[in-house]
Amino acid sequence: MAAIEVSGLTKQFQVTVRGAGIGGGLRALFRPVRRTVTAVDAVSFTIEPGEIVAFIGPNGAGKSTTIKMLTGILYPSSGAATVLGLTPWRERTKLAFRIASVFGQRSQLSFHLPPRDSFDLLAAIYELDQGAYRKRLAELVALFEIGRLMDQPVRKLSLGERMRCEVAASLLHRPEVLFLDEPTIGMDVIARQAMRDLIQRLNREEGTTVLLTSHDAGDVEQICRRAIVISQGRTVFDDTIATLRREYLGHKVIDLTLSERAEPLQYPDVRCVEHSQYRMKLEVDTSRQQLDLIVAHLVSRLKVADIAIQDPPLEDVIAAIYRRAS
Amino acid sequence: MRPWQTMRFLLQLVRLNLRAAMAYRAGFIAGVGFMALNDMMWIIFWTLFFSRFPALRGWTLDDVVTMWAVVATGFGIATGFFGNCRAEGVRVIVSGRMDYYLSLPRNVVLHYLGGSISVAAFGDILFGVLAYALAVQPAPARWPLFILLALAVAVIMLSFGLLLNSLAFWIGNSEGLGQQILNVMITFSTYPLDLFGVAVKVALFTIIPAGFTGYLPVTVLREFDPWRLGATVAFAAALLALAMRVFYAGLRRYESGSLVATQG
Amino acid sequence: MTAAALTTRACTRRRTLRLRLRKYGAAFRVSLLSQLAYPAELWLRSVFVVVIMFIFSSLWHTTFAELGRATLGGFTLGQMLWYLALTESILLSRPRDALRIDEEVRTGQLAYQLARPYNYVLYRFVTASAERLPRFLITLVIAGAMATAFSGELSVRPASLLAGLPVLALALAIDYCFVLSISLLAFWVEDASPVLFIYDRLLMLLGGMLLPLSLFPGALATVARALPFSTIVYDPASVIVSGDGEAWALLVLRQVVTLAVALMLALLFFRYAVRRLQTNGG
Repeated sequence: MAAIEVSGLTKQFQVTVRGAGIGGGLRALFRPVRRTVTAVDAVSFTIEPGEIVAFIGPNGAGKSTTIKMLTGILYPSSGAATVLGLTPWRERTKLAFRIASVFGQRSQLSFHLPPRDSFDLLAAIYELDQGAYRKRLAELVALFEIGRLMDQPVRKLSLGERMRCEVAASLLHRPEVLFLDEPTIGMDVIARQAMRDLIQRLNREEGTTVLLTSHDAGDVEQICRRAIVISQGRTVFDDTIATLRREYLGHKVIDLTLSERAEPLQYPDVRCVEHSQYRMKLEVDTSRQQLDLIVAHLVSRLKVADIAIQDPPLEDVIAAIYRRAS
Repeated sequence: MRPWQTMRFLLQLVRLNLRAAMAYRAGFIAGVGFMALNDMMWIIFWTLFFSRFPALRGWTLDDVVTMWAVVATGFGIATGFFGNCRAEGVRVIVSGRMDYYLSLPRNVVLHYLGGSISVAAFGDILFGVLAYALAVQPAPARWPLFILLALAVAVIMLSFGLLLNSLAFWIGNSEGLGQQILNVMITFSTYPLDLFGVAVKVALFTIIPAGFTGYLPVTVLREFDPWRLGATVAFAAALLALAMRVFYAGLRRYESGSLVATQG
Repeated sequence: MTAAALTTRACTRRRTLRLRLRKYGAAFRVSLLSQLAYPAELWLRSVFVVVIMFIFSSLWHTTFAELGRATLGGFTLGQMLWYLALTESILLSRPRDALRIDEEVRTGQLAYQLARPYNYVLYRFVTASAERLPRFLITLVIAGAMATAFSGELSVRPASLLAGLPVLALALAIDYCFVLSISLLAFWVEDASPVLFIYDRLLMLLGGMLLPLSLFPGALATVARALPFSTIVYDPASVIVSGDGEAWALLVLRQVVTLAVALMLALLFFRYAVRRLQTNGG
C-alpha cells in the first residue's frame, strides 16, 4: 500500500476582497465581492513508504494547500487522496496518530519552558503509554543529541537547537509519515548539515516516509531521492533527483561586480545572463566547463570588485522546468 | 479509554500552562495580586456607597459582595484554565494557528480554549473566595452551592467568549469588537439587576446573559431556590452547546479554506 | 552693539523660538492624526463609556428616587451625572501606553531619544496631549449626552464648561506629570506598570471618580480632599458642575501649586534618570 496516494486533487478558493478593519470585515460579510482562485489543479502523485520526497515550488504555488489537504486541515474541491490508506479530511483524528508535521515557522514547544515539559504534554496528546514514552524519549534524545537541551527554556536555545527539539518532538509517537516544511530555514551551515544527517538517519533506521518542502537546493539535493515540483497548482516535474540534477542543476552562476566597465567575455558553454554597467552574471554549464578555470580567467582579465558563485535559484530551475513542460 | 485520555490531556495542558506562567515568578505574583487589588477597589466603592445609602432596591452590601465573589471566581476559573475564551483567542483563528490544533488527535475546542491562560484570573479566584469567606461569612452549607454556581458562571463566561470568538471565522479579526462585548457582559454582571428597567432586564437574560451570572446566583445564595439554581445550570449547559455548535460550523468554514482567502 | 545688530539679534531669537516651537506643533499634529486614522478604535471604546454611564445613571437615578431627595452630596441628579461624565472624560481618556517612557526605558530606546534635537519631556507631553484630546472630547460628548438624556435637563451651564477648560487642562497636566514620574521609575524598578496601576486605582477611588468626595464618610473625606488626586478628578468636575466662581478661582490656585510641585518632581526624576543613563548607558 502506498504511503500517500493523490489523484486529481483540486482546491479552489472563493477569495473575498475585503477592506481593512472591522468595517471592511462587516461589509465583506453582507455584500462580498468574490473571485475564484484555483490553488491546486488536479494534482496526482504516489509516494511509497520509506521514500524521501522533495516538494518544491515557488511561493503561492499550492504546496502548503496540498499539504494541508493531506493532513486533513483543508478539504478539497474535488479529487481524492489517501494517506496510509485513510482519507485525511474525513478521518483526521485517526490519521493524526500516525503522521506528524513540522513547520519551521510554527513551534510546537512552549517558549518559556524546557522542551521536556512540552514533550510530556505531547505524550498525553498522543496517548503514549508512560513506559513506552520514556523509552522512546531516550532514543530520540540520543539520536538528536539534545540531552543537554532538554532542561533549558526553549527561548534560550539557538534556532538549530530548537529545530532539533521540534523534529524530535514530532517523532515521539513514531509517525509513519513526516511532513517537514522548511526545516533548515535560517540555520547556519553546521546546523543545517546536522539536520540533514538526522533526517537521513531517521529514514534509514525507522523507514519514515518524508515529504520535505524546502527552498534550499542543498536540502533537496542531499536528502531527497525524488522531487515533485509544483507551479501554479500543477505538478510540472515528478522524477528522481538524479534527473533534476542532470538536467537542471548542472549550472553555476558567477555574479561579478566590476570596478571598471567591460564587455562580457565569451566562453563556450557559458551564457551571459545579465549585463549592466558594473554588473555581470554568467551561467556556466558545469558538466561541460571547468568552473575554476573560467573564474581564474575572468579575474585575470577584468577589474573585479566582488565575485559570488551561486547555484541557480530554485525559482529559475522551476521556471525552466515549467517552460520545458509547456 | 477515551475519557480518561482526555482527562490526562487536560491535566497535562493545565500543568504546562501553569508552569509557563510561573516561569516568571514575580510576574505571576504581581498579576494575581493586582487583579485581586483591582477587584478590592470595587468592594471599597460599594462599602462607601452603602455606608451612605443603606439599601438599593433591596440589595445590601452583602448581596453585592456575594455577586462580585461568584462572578470573579467564575470568570477566574474560565479564563484561568481556558484562556482562549478571551477576545485575544481570535488571534489563533486569524493567524492560522488553528492548523496546529487541527493536526493533533485531540478535541479541537478543548485544545483551542486551553491553549493559553490568564494569570490575572487567579487573582480573581483568590479575591472571590476570600471576599465570600471573610466579608459575607456564609454558613458552611452555602459553600458547595457557591462552588456549583461559580462553575456555572465559568461555563457561561467561557461559552459566551467562545461564541464571540467564533465570529472571527466569518468576519476576520473581530478581536476589538469581541473585547468590547465581553466587557459589557462582565460589567453588567457586577451591578444589581434591579437598577434597570424591564427592557434592559430582558436583554440581560438573553443577548447579554449577565442576569444568569450576576443576578440568579446571588438570589440562590441569599435564599436557596432549586428552580433558579436549575435555570442557571441549564442555561450554562445550553449556552455551551450553542457555542460549540457555532464553533464547529466556523471550523468547517476554516477547513474549506475560505477564511484564509478572506485575508487577501 | 548697533541698533541694527540688536534688532537682528532679537529677530533671530524670535525666529529661532518660532522654529523650535514649530517642531512641537508638528509632533502634536502627527500624533493627533494617527489617533484619528483609526476611528473604529475610538468608537469601540465609546461603547464602554456608554455602558458605564448607563449603569451609573441607573444607579443614581434609583438612589435619588429611593431616598426621595433632590440633592445628594450637594448634587442634583443631573449634576451628579454630569460630574460623572467629566470625571470619566478626565480619567478614561488616558491612552493605554500612556507615556511609553516605561517601555522606552526598558528597551533602551530612551537613550536614542535623548540625542534628538528636542526636549524629551516637552515632546512626550505634546504627543500624549494629542493622543488624549480626541479621546477626551468623544468621551465628554457621549457621556454628557447620556447625562442630559437620563436626567432630562442640561445641568451644566455652557459658560461653566468654557470656564472649565483651563481647570481641565491643569488637571490633565498634573496627571501627566505624575504619570511621567512614575514611568521614569522604570530606571530603578524593573517594571513601573504596577505603580501606575496603583496610582490609577487611587485616582479612581480617592480622586472621586466613582463616588464624589462630598459623599465620603467624614475622616476619609478629609484625607481625600487633602491629597493631590482630588485636584485631578473631584475638584475640577464639581467646580464645573456647580458653576461656583469662587471655588473655581481657589481651585486654579491649588492646581497651579500642585502642578508646580508635580512638575518639579518629574523634572527631578528626569534629571536623575538622564544622569543614570549617562553613567550606566541604559
